[in-house]
Amino acid sequence: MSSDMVVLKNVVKRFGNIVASNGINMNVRRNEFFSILGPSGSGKTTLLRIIAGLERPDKGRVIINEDDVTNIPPYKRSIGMVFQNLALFPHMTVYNNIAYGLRLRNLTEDEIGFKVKESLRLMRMSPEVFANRKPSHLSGGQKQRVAIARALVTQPAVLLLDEPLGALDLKIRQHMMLELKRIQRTVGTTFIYVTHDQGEALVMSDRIAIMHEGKIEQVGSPREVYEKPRTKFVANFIGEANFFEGVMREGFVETNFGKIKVKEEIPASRKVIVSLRPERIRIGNAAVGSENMFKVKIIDLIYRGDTLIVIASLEGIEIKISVPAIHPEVMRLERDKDTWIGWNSGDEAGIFELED
Amino acid sequence: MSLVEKLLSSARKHRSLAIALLLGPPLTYLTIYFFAPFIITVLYSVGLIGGRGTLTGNISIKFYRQALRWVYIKVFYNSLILAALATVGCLLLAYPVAYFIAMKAPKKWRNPLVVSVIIPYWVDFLLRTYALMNIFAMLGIMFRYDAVVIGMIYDYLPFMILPLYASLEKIDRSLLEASYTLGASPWKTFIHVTLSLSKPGIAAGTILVFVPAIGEFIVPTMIGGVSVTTIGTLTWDLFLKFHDWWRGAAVSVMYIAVVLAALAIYMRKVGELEI
Amino acid sequence: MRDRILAFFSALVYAFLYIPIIIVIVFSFNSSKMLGQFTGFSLKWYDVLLGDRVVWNAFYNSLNIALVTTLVSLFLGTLAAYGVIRLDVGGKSAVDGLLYIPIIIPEIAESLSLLLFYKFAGYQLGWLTVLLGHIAFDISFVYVIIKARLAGFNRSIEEASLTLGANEVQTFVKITLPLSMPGITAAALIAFTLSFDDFIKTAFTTGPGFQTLPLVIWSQSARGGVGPEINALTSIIIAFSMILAYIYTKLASERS
Repeated sequence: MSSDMVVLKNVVKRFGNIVASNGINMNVRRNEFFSILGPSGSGKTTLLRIIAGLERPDKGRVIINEDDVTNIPPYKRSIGMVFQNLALFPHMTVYNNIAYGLRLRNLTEDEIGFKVKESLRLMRMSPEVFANRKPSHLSGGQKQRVAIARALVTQPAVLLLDEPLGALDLKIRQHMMLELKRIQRTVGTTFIYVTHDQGEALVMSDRIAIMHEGKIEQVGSPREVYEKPRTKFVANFIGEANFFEGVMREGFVETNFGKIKVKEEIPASRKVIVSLRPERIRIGNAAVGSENMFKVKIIDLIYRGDTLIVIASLEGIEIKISVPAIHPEVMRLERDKDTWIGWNSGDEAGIFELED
Repeated sequence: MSLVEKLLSSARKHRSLAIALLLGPPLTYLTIYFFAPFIITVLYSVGLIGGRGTLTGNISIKFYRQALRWVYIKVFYNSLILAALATVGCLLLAYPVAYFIAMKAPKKWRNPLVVSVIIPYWVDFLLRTYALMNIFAMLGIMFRYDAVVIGMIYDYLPFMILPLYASLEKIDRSLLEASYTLGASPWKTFIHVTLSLSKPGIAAGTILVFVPAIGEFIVPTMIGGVSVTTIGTLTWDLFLKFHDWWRGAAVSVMYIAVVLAALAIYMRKVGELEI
Repeated sequence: MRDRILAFFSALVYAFLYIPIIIVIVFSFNSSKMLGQFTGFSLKWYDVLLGDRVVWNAFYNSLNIALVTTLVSLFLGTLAAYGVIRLDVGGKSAVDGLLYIPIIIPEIAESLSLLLFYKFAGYQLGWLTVLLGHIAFDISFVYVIIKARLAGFNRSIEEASLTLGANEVQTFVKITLPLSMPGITAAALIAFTLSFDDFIKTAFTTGPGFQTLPLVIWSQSARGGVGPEINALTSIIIAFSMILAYIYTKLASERS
């Protein structure tokens, strides 16, 4: 048995002039929580719909559980899908919504009743309370759970989720993230989760694919894509980053404010961009002794509870620095004052060649 | 694979087959029993079809020349004026009612009030007009022009109230509140917010009343007697009384042209139309 | 104060709408034949109605035409609405425009075209020609109403059904159809009413011997007076449709 549950081979999909999928190759492993992360319009939802069979790719193959399903309609694929707007059937009760897929598979009413109740309990919803309610009488979080239960109850090989948490309040969303992770661990089904929210992707995923303009920029674990982004887009899209333009020399990058020592190996004299996470920059006395040290002027201080964001100007370039709010240096930082920032080579998130 | 499955899978592969399956039957039906008859009418109007339904092979515009005589042009003119009067009358009566139902009446009364507008129209059109005739006879205003206008307002009123209500009901109340907080008086708010947001309803209602009113036949005949001639009564007479199909066809083609022109002018002025 | 005036004005308009109807109902119980003079309560016109073969026959014809028209135009109009809404065809707006034309074209122009067409194509005028004309007119109304309803719910509800294992036909039957029901009911009511009350198109396209209720009323009123038994029949129809309307609004409010 192959370790891959879903394989996309060179998938191309165009809508008029827009290329939604530009030759996508992707492997999703068995039992993994896989996220497709990208801004709106990056083609992530199209990709999910191609896996579901709701869109036909112009080119390429879709393989689910070792079967080529490219020409198979959605209702014959072993998938479940949770839609962005949840798409609960408004004219059916919670029970009938969940039973829908089971009835189509010709189970007896007893089996159906058992499975529906079991799946509601998995969602931590009491069947006695909720089974006979209509979707219009559920809260946002409850609808969410019913939609997931409905998609999972038929035991699909893959569960596809299209930004299902988008409509929820922040608190419930944070709670549902952990719930989804729990459910995924319990049932062990492969989840493919589409989102534009890096927080959701980082918290839940085993691996993340970052999409941009119909292409996959990088696939990796949350730690990999955060700490070793392979493109400037990824560095910018996941977490925050400062970018410095310059020219590569032996062991350092020459910028218009000075030299930056770096670890990466890139052929000399190429134009590059150095990216640096705000939390990797030291400030004030803590910066002293770093391999790269620059004098900056503090423009603004933004208090965020656990951290303090310092906006500083380095020769006119705006730099963001994130400091733990309890850091001893914090008391000394003041607006319009000069201070030092610094970091060592290797602290940079990445160096990307610029295409001319 | 069952037959249904086979059909579905080929429909998925061949979009055009799916289109043909869905749109084919209704469009074919309309082509035969709606669009083809109009082509036949045009053929009659230019004299291409003769007495026994045979093709003559000659095109002639003499029926149009006859239809463009002053008496006929006056009928067209009268019809447009009558339709315009009926439309304005309907608008003046309908707007306050629609506004009342949508904005002022208690919420649970709204649906019953809307349904109550429609119920009288379950009574046959002719019978309603007949009842109206008797009221007018009692009032002594039969065969008068104003009676015909009132009769037409009566017959078309719901077609104005319903679209107006639909567009007024959609207006977000917070917009009115926003207008008040910005310092607009209720009257100014009505003019600048309510009235302009209900324009699609006014447009739809106007078209729903004006277009059929131009060709109105029943009300002018029953209430107006011989005193009022409209395109409707003219066509009726040409066809069912005199069997003058060629001139009747020419009048009808001109009539449709007038309606389409009126619609085009109106839509250009009002813009988007929602029915 | 302003609200009071508004309410009073609305009440007057409602009165305007209802007075002729009330007159019809009241005079169906009149003992004399005169509309305008109430000479005493009587059920005799209901009795006359029971024995009036012409009226009953016309009533039957109207019902027959209206029912068949409703069924056929519901079928064709729903196909059209579903086709236009669910297929992202090029030329979709052109098809939409074509389907709107029968609503815009004045009935009398359409009717005489049909008559010319029937003459030209050699149709025998009667039940069939009346029916075909009514359907042609009603398809568009059904189309507009059902299209609005279909546009009102999200495509993803149908897609959810597909991903749960239902094919397109099952999805249509279990999801699309029940969700479109309010639209379908409304469309059916309108199609039925338009056909049942139609006078002009029927007058143009009918042949000797085939009369619907509006044609009978027309010929009676042209002869100087509609028989009070027709008032009686109308009162029955009103009562019947009021009951239907009541049941319908009850069901609708329960569902929502």
